[in-house]
Amino acid sequence: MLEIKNLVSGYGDIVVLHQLSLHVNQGEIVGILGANGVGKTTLLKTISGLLKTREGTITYSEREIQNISPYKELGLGIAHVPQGRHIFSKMTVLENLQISLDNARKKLNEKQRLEYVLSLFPELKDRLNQAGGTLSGGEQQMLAISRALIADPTLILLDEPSMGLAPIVVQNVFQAIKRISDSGTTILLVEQNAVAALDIVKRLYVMDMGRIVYESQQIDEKELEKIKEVYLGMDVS
Amino acid sequence: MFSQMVVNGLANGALYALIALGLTLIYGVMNLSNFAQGEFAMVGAFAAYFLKQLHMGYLLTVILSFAVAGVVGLICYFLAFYPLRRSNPLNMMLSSMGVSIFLVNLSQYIFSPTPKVVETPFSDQSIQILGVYLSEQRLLIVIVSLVLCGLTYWVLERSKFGRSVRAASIDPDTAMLYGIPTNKISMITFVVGVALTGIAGALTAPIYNVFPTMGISLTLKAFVVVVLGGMGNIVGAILGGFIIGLIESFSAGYISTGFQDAIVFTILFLVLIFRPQGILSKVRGEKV
Amino acid sequence: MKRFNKYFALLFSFILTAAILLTGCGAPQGASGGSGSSGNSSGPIKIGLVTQLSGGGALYGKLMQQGAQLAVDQANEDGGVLGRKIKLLAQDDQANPSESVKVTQRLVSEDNIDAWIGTLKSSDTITDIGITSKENIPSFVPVGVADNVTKQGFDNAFRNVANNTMQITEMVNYILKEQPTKKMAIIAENTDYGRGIVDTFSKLFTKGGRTVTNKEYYNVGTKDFNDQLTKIKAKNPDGILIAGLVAEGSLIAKQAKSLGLDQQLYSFGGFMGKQPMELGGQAVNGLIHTDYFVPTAKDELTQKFVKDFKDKYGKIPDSYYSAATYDAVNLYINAVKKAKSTDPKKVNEELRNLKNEHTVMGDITFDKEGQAATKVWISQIKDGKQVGIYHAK
Repeated sequence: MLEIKNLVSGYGDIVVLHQLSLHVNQGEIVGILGANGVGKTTLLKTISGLLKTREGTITYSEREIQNISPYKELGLGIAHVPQGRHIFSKMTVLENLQISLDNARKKLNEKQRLEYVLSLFPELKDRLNQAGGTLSGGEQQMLAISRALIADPTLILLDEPSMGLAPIVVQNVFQAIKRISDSGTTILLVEQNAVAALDIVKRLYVMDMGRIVYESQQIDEKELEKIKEVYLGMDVS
Repeated sequence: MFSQMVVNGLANGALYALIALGLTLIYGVMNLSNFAQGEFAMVGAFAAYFLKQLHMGYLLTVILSFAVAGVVGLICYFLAFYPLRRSNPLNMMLSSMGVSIFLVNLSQYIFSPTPKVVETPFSDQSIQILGVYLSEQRLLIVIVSLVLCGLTYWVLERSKFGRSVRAASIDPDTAMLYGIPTNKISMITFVVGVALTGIAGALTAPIYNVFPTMGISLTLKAFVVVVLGGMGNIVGAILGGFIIGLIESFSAGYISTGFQDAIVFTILFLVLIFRPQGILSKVRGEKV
Repeated sequence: MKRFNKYFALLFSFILTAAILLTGCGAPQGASGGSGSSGNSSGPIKIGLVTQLSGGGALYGKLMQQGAQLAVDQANEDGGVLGRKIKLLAQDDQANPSESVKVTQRLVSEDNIDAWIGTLKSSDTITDIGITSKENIPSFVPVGVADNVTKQGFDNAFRNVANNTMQITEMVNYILKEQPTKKMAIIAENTDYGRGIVDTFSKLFTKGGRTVTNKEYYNVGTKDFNDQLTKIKAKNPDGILIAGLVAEGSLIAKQAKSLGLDQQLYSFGGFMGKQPMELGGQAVNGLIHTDYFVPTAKDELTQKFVKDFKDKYGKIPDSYYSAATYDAVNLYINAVKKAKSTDPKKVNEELRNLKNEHTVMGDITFDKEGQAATKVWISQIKDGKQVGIYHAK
């Protein structure tokens, strides 16, 4: 479904991603782990077109998308939940969701989609007419994910959904992510919080210095230990 | 005299609101302090003058002035602002000052600095109710301003397009992720923002005459209004327009006509010092 | 906070810039450089003209330039002066004080001009003559009418147009003699010019036993006068005096009409020429104002000037800007002829000794301060035409 080959990207004079390759299969939930500053967010931004691809290709559903404008990607079925949530703070929760519906890949029934995302995040139900900026951090994250989900995407790029959230809320959010994945949506999850991520991902990559340094096929107990020890030493707690 | 002052203030306020609306829209979406805003009123006014020379009906010239200012705006957008869209907002602001100087000089070259008169079927007649006079032309300005302000507000708050504009102004990158072509949105916003001001120019032409430097004081006034209402705040710009209009009218009436502008600018400074986010915004730096 | 600071700084700087542009704070630069013009005796005689040739007042500046050029061309056709050609160096000062000083300085120190003429603004004229006076260059003031131009102690300044007090005095005398207006409202531009008129007019008018009901002010460039006019209306005067120029004055007349004010309108030199009718239309019909030049005056020299001007530029010189500047060039040329030299000292001496020199603007005799009492007309706009209705003497 998503195939990245020899990707080079960065900001200005600085090259962040060096010849990076990875792939995500249809219906999978794939994790990308790595410490702060290894290029995880850069990778997602490059996939969604906010950053230019300098070399390499990004293929999505048999189509090269590395030169496509970012605003066209939602229409292709790719929804990006950015790091730090970036909800439209002055607009209501409902409007945040409508924006996404307005630009979905096909005409969707607003009521149906709304019911669906509210069933995943019932916390938002009473807050539909409240400005997005007035929500708590956890609710904002739920809104950010709902905003992506409501457009019925085929691939969701999730950037650090656990950031700044209390452990109980993290659990809540990750359970919802798992349910989204179970319903068939492909998910590429970028996380620093390895413990939380390892609970739900089927397969994972570890990134360091803009490169994939480890790729797991099947996550079992032994492998888990290895990952924790060798690559994510700092994050084990 | 009191009621006449209120009417005067509201009539001027409607005009200020219309120009400030364009300015604040552009600031909200492009983060551009457009110092050429008033020059688009000048462009609209000259368009009205020029089309009037071709014996076109006045109301038609007003509508066309919207288009002319819009087209000139579009050209300016691509020459002066689009190339700078990713750079420091300061660069765009300086660029707008360049656009201002360029448009003033161009119109001086084409039309000469001499003021021009634009005839209107309304100019010299007045409506008189209970001793309060309002010329028909001013009434027209009030009506058109209110309609355009209301329409703009409605589009922004209620339409799909308006949602996109607001999203793009709050967070352009995320808006892009959710399918909003922010570059196109800022282009449209700029064109509409200056075209609204162009209409204001065509509407005032019969009362104020038309000359190349007419826009400068309008830009200044619009900035006062926008700062008062909160940069990028639509409702703030509309209310701010009326507030400034009334303050001017009352300070002239009850204090002194000689200090009118001084009073307005004193208020600007007080707002900047005590409520830099504007009188309406709750959060500093809030936009559209 | 960061954002606030940024915009505060931006706005602040913009306002400051605007304030500087509007009020002008260019201090005259110390003028010492330059070799002076006294030793010049070969090549053309150079007359520097400093006036606004671009921007809002360029219209008047160009009229000055045309008047001066006409006089220069005529003198050159007659073979020049003292066997030398005359050359006009017209410089644009954008009606900006610092620009005016700059171009005058350049004319003096680089072009070594023999005579100077300028400007549209009395205040700029004073600072500029401050520069030319260091070289004693004969300097003519054909347009600026503020009283204080000739009260700076300059020995080289000559004004061949009646000053403000003279025109105000004539206007008051005329009203007291010929008009029934008892209560006058004044709307004045917020400048030395406007405030000067308000003071002098009020003093003379009340001395004549009549009253002034309002003294309202506006800033130059203002386009809306409803606030001032509303206050005037509340006092119910029977005449309105506009102490300003035509750009604003014509709008005042129009806006007064639409507020239901039908009083007799009065104004000053700003309402000369065709412009008031073009800009004010019906609203200025009947307006009475002072004038320095009436192209239809039955005076041989005036008629010759009007004809020559029309032949050269295809239009009638309808205000004093061209006439007075034309006169200024001729006054200089005649003084040079009499002095048989362009030596500034000798030329200034000849100018001071003039007695009733007949010019388009009237018979010129410069007083100790360099002020000449030229004609002041009272004109009225009647059905789209300027009609001279009165003049003293």
